[in-house]
Amino acid sequence: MDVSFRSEVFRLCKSLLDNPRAREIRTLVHDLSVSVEDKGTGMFKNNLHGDLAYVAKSFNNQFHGYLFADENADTLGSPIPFKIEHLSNEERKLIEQGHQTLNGFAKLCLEEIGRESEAAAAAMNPYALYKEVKCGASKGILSDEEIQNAVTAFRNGKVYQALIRSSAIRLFEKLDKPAFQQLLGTVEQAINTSFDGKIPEDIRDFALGIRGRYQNITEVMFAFSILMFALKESLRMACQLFYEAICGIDLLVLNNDNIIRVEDRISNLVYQKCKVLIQGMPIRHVGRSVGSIVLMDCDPTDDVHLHEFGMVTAITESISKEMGSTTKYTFLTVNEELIHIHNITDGILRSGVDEIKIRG
Amino acid sequence: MNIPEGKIFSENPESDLWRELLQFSYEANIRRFWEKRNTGVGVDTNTVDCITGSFLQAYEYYQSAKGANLQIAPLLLYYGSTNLLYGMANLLNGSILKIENHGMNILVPEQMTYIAETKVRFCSPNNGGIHVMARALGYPNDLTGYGDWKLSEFLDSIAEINDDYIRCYNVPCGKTVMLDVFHTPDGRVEKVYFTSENRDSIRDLLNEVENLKKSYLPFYPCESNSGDLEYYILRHKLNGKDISERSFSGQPYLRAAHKKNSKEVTLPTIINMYAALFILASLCRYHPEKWSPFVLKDTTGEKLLIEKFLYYARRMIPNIVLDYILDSKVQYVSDKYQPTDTVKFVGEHQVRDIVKEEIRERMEQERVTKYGRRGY
Repeated sequence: MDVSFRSEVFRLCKSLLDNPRAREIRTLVHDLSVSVEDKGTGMFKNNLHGDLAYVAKSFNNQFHGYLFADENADTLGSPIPFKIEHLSNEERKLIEQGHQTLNGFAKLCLEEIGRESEAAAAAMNPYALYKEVKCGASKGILSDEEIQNAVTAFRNGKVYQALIRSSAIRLFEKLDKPAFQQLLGTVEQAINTSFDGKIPEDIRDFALGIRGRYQNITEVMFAFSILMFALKESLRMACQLFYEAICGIDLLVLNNDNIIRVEDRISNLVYQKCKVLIQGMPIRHVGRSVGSIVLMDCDPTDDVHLHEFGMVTAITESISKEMGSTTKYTFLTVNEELIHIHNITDGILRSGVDEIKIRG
Repeated sequence: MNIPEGKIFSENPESDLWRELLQFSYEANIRRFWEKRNTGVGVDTNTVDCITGSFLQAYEYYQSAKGANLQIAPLLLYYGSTNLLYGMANLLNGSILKIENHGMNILVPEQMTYIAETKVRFCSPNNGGIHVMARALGYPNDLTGYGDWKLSEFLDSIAEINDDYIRCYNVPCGKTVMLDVFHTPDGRVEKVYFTSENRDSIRDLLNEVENLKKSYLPFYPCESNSGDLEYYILRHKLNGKDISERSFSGQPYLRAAHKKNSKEVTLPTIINMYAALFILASLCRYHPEKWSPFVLKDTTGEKLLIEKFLYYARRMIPNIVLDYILDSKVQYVSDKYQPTDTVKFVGEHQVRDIVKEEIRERMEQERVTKYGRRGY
């Protein structure tokens, strides 16, 4: 039986936790982010790179943020007066290698699609919408052999296979990279709008419509755009998991030892959503933010067990001196292909995606 | 007049409670009770007479205890409770249970500062009175395996006298802590108050509550906004059972276990009270040289605690017995009948959600009416 992409990604995360080079990067990210209290004076020592780490993390795009902040240290200091110090060469090399590990993996996963359309592969890269950064590292922490199983699992996924087998990429052959990015960006915006519960009309009408045959070429192209966006997000989640593993952050587990209640479990045309209220605030110096992955593994009653991985879409922290702190996580469940909009992708796959034949 | 949820209206709870119990001093009621419980199986005359006599004697002892002073009140209450529990055990069993002795022996130290230093040793696990009654109450454990118990180890587990216990013996806490319950938008929150003096003791006490970790999320300290109150916050786990008990006032509380012979043990409240009554009764019946000076010239203030304990024993033991017989938590209340109001009161957050959902549904309906299900 094929091992799922999600399982392979977690297997790689485990190996990253023990990797000596990852440990060096982990120490660096920790030191960049955390100010240590001077035991003698009780004062916090000013961290030279505190502002750089703060700005880098606010981009929420893993190591890319550090490299971008470093390259733009002089311009990012306004209008808020951040004091961003450049990384040293050694520090920069470590961060670059971290970024290369993530970006290299994503590129390898998209290699086959790239052979069909370079623009499509570039647009499906999780870092496609970010300004390019210089990355001198030619190799990541993990070798190609080590990541091969995960790459294969990604390519064996139902969504990926549907995309490849249908030759759908050719539908978009006239699109260049910016146009492709714009297309996926539009899909992303529409999908993300639906996270607050109100599904945009075009997505809803499309999702209701795909129970039958596609009505026109626009629907077909929309269907494939959604599949491509789903794969892009799947790779982004994998990169986020690798990033957190390199930084030594354990997967956040919502279980009977921290859950106060499961507030909502909603399934609609696009996704399945859960809202879970937990005791305390599991804050770490990196990760555990919107876009991160959580595992809900709990028994709400003696005969019900919930085991779901989810991509966090909202976090509400409630700091109460009187009643104690709580955190509410809203997340979309992700399937074995790390796809968070699996209701709509399943709908597309159910209705069938035949091989596309374009008349000359 | 019965009010739902085991609440009974009364302007004189103690007398109405006994009126309820004295139903079982009538043969017809005993037979009806037993036939209902055991689908038609009868009960012999000897058993009926034994149950009738037990309830009637219990009533007389309790009535006498109410008017007696501290010299003999514990003895009368112990005899009354013995009869009541014996009557209950036989009623629930349907035949006469054999009892050979009390199932306890008193051990009085030569020198003692407090009466509460008197000890008891449990014996006769098969036919000792306390064991027979404990089994009837659904507590099957052999009490002889837990070593000797001091009177203070029974008193410290009675929530109703907890504050008096702490004050009298000048200890940081007893074995019970009251829960202050709050229903917040984030669910039920329970507070356990502490002071800077007993913060660690209360923490240790909570950790000694059996099944606390199965029922509650890890608890942690907080303080009120004004900073004048400090407390531990307890929240139930997702599937955490309610392990709190209800005090006589209805307020929930948690009770820590005693560690006896390396085993954790939490006795039912009624057994705690019964064993404590046995010690006090034995002291006044067989050790007047200890009891009389205590009653006449106690200088420690312990007498106030014992008097309060005896009051609650007189009030609570018959109530607990009635609960067991009726298999319901019976509460005597003085609130007059109110019709049940089914109007739902909702908070601001719920109103917002309801309005949002209503608008969403209406928009969906309009859309389907206009464009059909496919939306084109």
